[in-house]
Amino acid sequence: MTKALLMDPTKCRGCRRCELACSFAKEGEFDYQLSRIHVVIPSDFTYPVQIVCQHCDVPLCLFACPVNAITKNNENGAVILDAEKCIGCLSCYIACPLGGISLHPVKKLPIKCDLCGGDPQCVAECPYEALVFVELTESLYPKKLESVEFTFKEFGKLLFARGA
Amino acid sequence: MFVANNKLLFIDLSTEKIKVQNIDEDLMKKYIGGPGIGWKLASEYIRPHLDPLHPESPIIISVGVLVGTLFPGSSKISAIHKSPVLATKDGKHFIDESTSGGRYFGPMLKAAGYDHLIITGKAERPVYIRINDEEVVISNAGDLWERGVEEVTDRFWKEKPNYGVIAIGKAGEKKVSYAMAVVDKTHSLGRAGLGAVMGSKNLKAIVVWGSKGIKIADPDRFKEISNKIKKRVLAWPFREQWLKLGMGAGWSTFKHTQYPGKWPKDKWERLYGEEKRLERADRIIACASCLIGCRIKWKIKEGEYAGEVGYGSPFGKSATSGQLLDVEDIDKMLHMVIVANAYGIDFYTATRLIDYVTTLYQQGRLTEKETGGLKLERTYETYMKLLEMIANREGFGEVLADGWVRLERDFNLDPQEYWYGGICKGVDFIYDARASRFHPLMMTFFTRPRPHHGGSHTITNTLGRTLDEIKENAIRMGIPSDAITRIFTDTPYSPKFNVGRYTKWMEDFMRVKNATGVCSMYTMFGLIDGIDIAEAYSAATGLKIDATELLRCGERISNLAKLLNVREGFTRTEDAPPETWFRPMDSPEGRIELMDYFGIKVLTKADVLKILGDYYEERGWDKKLGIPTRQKVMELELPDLGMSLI
Repeated sequence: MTKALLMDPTKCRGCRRCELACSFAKEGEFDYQLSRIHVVIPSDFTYPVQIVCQHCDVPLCLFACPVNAITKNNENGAVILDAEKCIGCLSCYIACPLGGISLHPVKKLPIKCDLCGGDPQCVAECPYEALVFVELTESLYPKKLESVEFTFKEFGKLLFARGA
Repeated sequence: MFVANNKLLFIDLSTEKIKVQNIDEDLMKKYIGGPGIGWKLASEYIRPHLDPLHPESPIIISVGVLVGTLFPGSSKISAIHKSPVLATKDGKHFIDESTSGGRYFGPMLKAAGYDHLIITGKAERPVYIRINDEEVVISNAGDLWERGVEEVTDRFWKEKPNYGVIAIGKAGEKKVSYAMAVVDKTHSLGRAGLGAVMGSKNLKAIVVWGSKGIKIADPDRFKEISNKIKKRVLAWPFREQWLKLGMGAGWSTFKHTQYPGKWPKDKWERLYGEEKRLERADRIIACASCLIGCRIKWKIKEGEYAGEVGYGSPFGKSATSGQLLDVEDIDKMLHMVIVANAYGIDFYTATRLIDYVTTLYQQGRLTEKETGGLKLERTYETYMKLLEMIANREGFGEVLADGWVRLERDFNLDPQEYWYGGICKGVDFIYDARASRFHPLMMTFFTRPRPHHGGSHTITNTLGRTLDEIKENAIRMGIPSDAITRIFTDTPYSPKFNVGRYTKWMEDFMRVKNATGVCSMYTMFGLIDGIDIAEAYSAATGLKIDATELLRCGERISNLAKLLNVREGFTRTEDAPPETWFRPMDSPEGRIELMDYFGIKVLTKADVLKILGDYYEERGWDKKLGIPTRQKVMELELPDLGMSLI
């Protein structure tokens, strides 16, 4: 059985430690923009939206990539972007409906979560159990779907935040 | 430089001149950084004896050094300015620092590339300042003027959900002397009246967003220290309760230590106790990088105000003011907090002034002649009316908007007769030392009257600590051994430990926390100490420093802040303990007198004055005048600000 990131926005308090942990692990500095995970806190402080690659069973980014820079590891389920192969066409970025792929603000290249080789630092730094990395059992599967559904819905709303 | 930007963004609203200045990195060795350096800037930019609302009175906002990192609880910003709150009848105003956490403002100002923001001048029309990295724009705020704090904050968040926002409400616009500036909707730079200073500059809001990262000198070591503290905090036994109630946690202690003495405690419990709090707490909100979370989104579920929501920390203030004002419905008080927050007005000062004048009216000591025909009945409707009148400076509200000393001046009333909390330098204290006991924070109320908004909390804030715990913690704060001996020498007036001597170090530690941006919630519960901060600061900046040396810098900052106020005319005379504390509180639970931390002894005014004398002595100041000596100033390599000290 593979382990998966499981989000629980009802537990998230918006401290954004996950973002800092990610950028620190991946880029060696604290920079919200360089994080592969993003937390958007709604102005009325209902549930924060945790936006990160879900390592989908059907990864649209992978299908979109013209140079096979994205692969899915069949053993642990991780969807990995090979920066060496990437040509920066941003097809993956456009293809993901969950905002799971970020854009490097300077290089303008896609960056994404790689589960830190099985020890995701965002999970390690989350003090509220709003992000966990667990064996995706049959009983947890509906929870995973629920959280993805939440992100999908809320991410969509964010695109229209100005008019809300 | 690692972690710190050492850059100052200077904005003159009169000339619309904007410039960025580099700050000498070496200043960090003397002043740590953040508001430590902020005070250094204050000594250069704040002109003596200038009216706090004069266009050229600056606002200095500084970000703590560790803000924007993973260090637990590192989110704090400080604002230094001259307070519009009238401190004395002869017109003195204290220069002070208020601090605030938040999710965005601190980290974003830093990410924009600045550690300090100085705003001076006065805009011709209402404006707001928008900072996006290097792009700094002063924009028309005409359509935001007169709008509530939350509405204004939401407007900016619609543009960018992680804008750091400091906004004022109507009270700030009208220059109510104790108006707050609200940070990221849930936090405040309060008590010292920053809202009024912003209002006097026609400045409705400051919004900031930045894109830059923070580099750490020794990343592995920094992570290690951060992890060590994280482990400690996650194992903290009270954390579970805080996760449910945030700042509203701890009712079982609160009901004793913040008891106003009017109602029996069981009545208070029934009307404002934990059960009521749990029903109304909707979400607990954390600051950037916080492992605990103390801010609350609350929801009123039933009754007249059903559906209303508020943000901040309403439970303590609604409970004490509710009892003082004899309001038996918690939802009415929560509604009052929501209204006060939208106005951006200090709830404590406003409600206590209202309690005072309505009681005097009831006693026939204030009449319609003084109130301008207004009947000050002790009803909720009158309280809400008065709150509105204060925020709008309307009628009698005009007098109340200037606070306690104006009441004294205009009507010959003595604020010292007010029955709860205590007043010093024109500021009312949020707690009363009779109910809380005379722990060191109480002393900082009269040496520097806004400590609960200044982060001086240590473990002595909670009753029930053993002497050994306090001593162990004091050592880990970095207090040198000779001072430890002095502090823990029993005296007849301060049993077991000397509150005066301890307070000196506690204040210096506060400067360390504010300069580094570490929240005092953590030090209040003994979760972070001086050694931790020194280790994190060293790893982050690459400047090797230990806890004792940090305290030495803290002492330097404390002295500089004091010198600025000495120049304004503040001496020992103004450091008077409030008379309120020396009148026993006759409560339905029995007589409550001012006692020491361990409850061994009833303290008299003479005792407290001896403790104050020890405080000056520990500071190495002139005991009679209560001000730094020339020798102390030279020893700390501080400027004498043109004063001839003895």
